[in-house]
Amino acid sequence: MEFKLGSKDSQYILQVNPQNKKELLLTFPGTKIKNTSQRPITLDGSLAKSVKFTNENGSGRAVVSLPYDADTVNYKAYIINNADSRRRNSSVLAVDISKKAAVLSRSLQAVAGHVIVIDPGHGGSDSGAVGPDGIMEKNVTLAVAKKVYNILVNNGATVIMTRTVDKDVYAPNASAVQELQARVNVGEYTKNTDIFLSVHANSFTSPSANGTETYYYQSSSQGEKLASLIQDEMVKSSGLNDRGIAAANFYVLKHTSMPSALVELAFISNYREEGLLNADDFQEMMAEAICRAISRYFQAD
Amino acid sequence: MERIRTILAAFFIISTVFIAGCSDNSGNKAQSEQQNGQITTNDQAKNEKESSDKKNIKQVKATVYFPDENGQKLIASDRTLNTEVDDKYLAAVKVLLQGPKKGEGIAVIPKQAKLLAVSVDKNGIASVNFDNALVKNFSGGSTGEIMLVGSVTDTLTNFPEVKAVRFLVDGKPLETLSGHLDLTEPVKRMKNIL
Ligand SMILES: [Zn+2]
Repeated sequence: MEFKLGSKDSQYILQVNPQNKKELLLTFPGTKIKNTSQRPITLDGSLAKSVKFTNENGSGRAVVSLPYDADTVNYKAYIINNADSRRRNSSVLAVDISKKAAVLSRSLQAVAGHVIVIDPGHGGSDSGAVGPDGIMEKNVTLAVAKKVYNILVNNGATVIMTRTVDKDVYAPNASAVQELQARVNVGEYTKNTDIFLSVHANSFTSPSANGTETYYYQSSSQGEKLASLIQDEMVKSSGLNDRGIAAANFYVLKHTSMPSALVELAFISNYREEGLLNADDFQEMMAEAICRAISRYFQAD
Repeated sequence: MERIRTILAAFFIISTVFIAGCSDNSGNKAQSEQQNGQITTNDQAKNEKESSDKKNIKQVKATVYFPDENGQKLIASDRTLNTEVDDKYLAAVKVLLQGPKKGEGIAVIPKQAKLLAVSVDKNGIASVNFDNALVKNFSGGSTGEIMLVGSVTDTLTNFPEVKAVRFLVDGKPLETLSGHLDLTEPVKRMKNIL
């Protein structure tokens, strides 16, 4: 994007908003922007969503909203000095934003060509666990699963979700076996499913219980490997209490024939972790961690 | 209900005397009558036996398990169960409903849940029957579910004759508690949380 500046030697600073990782701030110290009242300029959304102009503490500022965290892109600002701008005693400031595509795809390239079924836990008539502030597990699991979906698809994987909206997979208020088997069936009936991953948020009677845990089915060494990689990446990213991996007699793990794992991102019954689970940047971080683990899983295959 | 209780109590008198009388406690009633001539199904004989063994009948030592605060392990606690009215299985699960003493962990069964019955069949499968309040008031995720099921299962399977535990709600098989564990088959002792 280009900004036409009224003066030839304007000072400018381009930085990530320390309060919001999804905003780039282009600040012109000591410069006033004339038309701050105008509506934010909407961009196409693939690299940047909108630009808004403000004047704060004697500095003009352009706020660039991004659809992702700024640390996943390269950005730079520079003055274009062309003949036209020299003649008019003005200049054009260019801001370039490009995805760190090389870095991202190199770490995730092993997912390409694989078939992955993602199961956002609960949904519809089953809210899953509910936190002290009313945050529902079913909404957190769907949000994270969708992010996992996007990352994996962008890196060449085939991804099938057991649900993409807030609904029961079988039918509202069906029996537990009907509902859970319907999720298993998505894994079983999808052609060549390589792995099945169920996403959940944990809950316990005691509000102090906290941390991240990943489950696998007892007799599945591949499932155990998948669980251990996911656990490793999630804990590395989040720094949350590492509860480790454990074998569990969970319905969706037991009845799927392909390697499977069930992640418990954090405790929705813990006040602090409920807040994290509901935050978009935490969801994104956990989704990325899960995808890195999946890529490592296929790499090691 | 009163009738069932009486029958359970009567059965229990026989098995307790048998356990006290011989070291092999396979729980086989026929075998017990054969090996211990004092026991008959005659009511009068039973009553005599009851008074002489009153202390043994009323008190049974057992281990119960409550989850720790963080929901990672079960804490074992010793209890002397009063089996004057309830049999030891029912008495042990009732202890879980009453909740732990200080330092024994935390309560995990919803307060509103009512325990309707506990029975053990000849194959060592215990059936624990709660009312619907168990499911309605249960708020746990995977950890809560594992800890509740583990607490009941490990407490009951600590009696050597109990091999696995089946969960019922209002007499009907419980398929899952909160959508994670598969409870459609009797649950074996959960050693990995002990
Ligand atoms: Zn769940």
